[in-house]
Amino acid sequence: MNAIWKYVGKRILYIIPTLIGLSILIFVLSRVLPGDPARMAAGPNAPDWVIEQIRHQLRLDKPIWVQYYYWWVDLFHGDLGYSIYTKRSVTVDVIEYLPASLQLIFLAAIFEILGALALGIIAGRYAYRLPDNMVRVLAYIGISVPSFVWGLLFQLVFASLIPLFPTHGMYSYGTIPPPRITGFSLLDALLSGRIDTFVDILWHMILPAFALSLGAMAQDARIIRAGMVENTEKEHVALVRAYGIPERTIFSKYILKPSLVPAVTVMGMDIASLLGNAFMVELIYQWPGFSRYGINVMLNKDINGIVAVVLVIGIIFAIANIIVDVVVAYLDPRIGRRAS
Amino acid sequence: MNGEPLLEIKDLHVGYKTHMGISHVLNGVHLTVHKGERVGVIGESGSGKTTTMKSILRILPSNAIIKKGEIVYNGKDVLKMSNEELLTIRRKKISMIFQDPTSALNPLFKIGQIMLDIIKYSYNLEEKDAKEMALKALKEAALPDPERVFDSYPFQLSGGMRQRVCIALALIGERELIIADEPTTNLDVTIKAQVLNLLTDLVKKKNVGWIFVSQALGAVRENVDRVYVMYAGNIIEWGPSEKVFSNPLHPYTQKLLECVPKLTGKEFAKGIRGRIPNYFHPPSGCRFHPRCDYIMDNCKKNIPEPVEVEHEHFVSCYLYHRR
Repeated sequence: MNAIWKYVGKRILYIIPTLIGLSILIFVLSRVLPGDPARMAAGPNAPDWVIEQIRHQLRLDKPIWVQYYYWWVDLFHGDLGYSIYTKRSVTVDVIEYLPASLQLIFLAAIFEILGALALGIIAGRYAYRLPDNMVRVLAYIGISVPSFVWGLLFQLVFASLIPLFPTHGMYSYGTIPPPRITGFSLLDALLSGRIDTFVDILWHMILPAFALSLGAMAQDARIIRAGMVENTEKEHVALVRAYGIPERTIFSKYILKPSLVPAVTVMGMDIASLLGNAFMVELIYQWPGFSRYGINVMLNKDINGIVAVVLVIGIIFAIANIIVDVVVAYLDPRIGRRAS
Repeated sequence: MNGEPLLEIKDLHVGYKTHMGISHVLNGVHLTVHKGERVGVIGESGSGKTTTMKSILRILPSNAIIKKGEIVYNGKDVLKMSNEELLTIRRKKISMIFQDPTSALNPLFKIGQIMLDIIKYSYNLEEKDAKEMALKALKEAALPDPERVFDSYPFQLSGGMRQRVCIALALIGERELIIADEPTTNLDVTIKAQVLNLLTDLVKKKNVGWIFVSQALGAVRENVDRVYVMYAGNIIEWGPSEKVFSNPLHPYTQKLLECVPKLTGKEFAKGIRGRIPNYFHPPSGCRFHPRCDYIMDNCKKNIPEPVEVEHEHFVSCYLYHRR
């Protein structure tokens, strides 16, 4: 137990230099790319003195290292800088948009994990037979079709032709959003005791979350299946079979566990990258999320917005990495012990 | 050999389905073990020794096909047994020690977890009694500090210790037959002798039936009652150990015994010209004929019937058909 905490601590320490490196990279990139953010913010007809004023406000008139220094000073005051796109502090934007995306991704992750496990295990259990072939075809389709196509297709089928789900937004018309407590609308609805609002939000999330999860689900189902097929022929499986352990136990214990190790690694990364991949789905479903915000700040060359978006995605990847490492170390004792 | 047969393999044909076609490995293998008898099986790698051993417990890879044959254990054919009967054989009667202890132990489970699972399904014991049984077996396999081994993952043990763990598994309960499939091949030279001595002592002490598959010809010679020589999926010669080793009849056995390096000799062992045949298109007739120095016309056409050259010493070779 102690060893695993030491391992987690080490992992957390490792992400600090990574994030500092990332911040420098994206800070410099956002400022050296062609295009003048002040001009874009002010519009083509704005007089020069307005541009100068914006440049001064964004500290673009100072050398880049000075800008970076002040960025850190501001960060320690909880300020990520002024957004020329939303015309307010980026911190406020992050607090407003991030929870909506995180809860969407959370649901997508649940779909992803459950779906990948179910499909992968069925395919592995009936390898080279009909269920496996069906899963393989499904997985192939799931990997090759991008999530926004699924998003459009689901809108057509499950919202338009068969009106089971809403097509867009977070609430039905006439629903008053729950009071903002945590920023996560699902949680806020629960905390304020509004079960019907909770169900309503969940209902709005199902199609986008499912569309978002399919690609990763298909990929991880294939990885689990491949692991099971490979492990079935291992000598250690022959051994437990030779000693009379029933097939059910062999499958659910001695074959499944080693097959999950490689899948967990990929799953963690897939879930983390959902945040970056969600923008199309968020656009199609009019989801007021962070990915949509991210794409807008990029298009508007909102330098402070870009830096914040990239760093948030970086932090989420880092957290996903730590979770993956801990789960893998828990599944495979060789990894945790060796590191400590 | 006196006594009744415990295990009798008759005319076993096993192949493997691959994307290149079917590889016809076992081509009529037969083998008998009597109660409490120690039987050796020798032959080159790839001659089908492991396939034969895995057939006995029906733990062959999923692409294996048993084309024909019988594996009669205590009067019943293992190949026709119900699942229940087969599980009883695996749990109480026959145990097997695998070639490579590193790949035979699941790396993600503690030794104790694997042992408890095995004991739980075999003997229906309470956890405490099952653990006691496991520790007793580990102790018998001469593992120092059985408690620690019980609580270790395979990667925390040395190769020799892992094989002792596998020996301990094979010792659980009162077995009638222990199959040791090249138990020392994958161990360090320094450990080989220790593990082998442990195993042979235990087999003698417990008086169980033993099939000892090995490339270590010296060890086989000293530790078995009868020996079978296998080549390319056929048993080509068999008989009492001292007779086969002192008077090898089949040209293959003669060459195989010449291959044993002698520490005193100045020359390298000669080796055998050619190699094990391709099992997708095995040679017709006697499968050894492409490598044989005494090849005759008949060798390419038919598989020679066994001949009893001296008492209980048989050989399948046309050289001994002339008289």
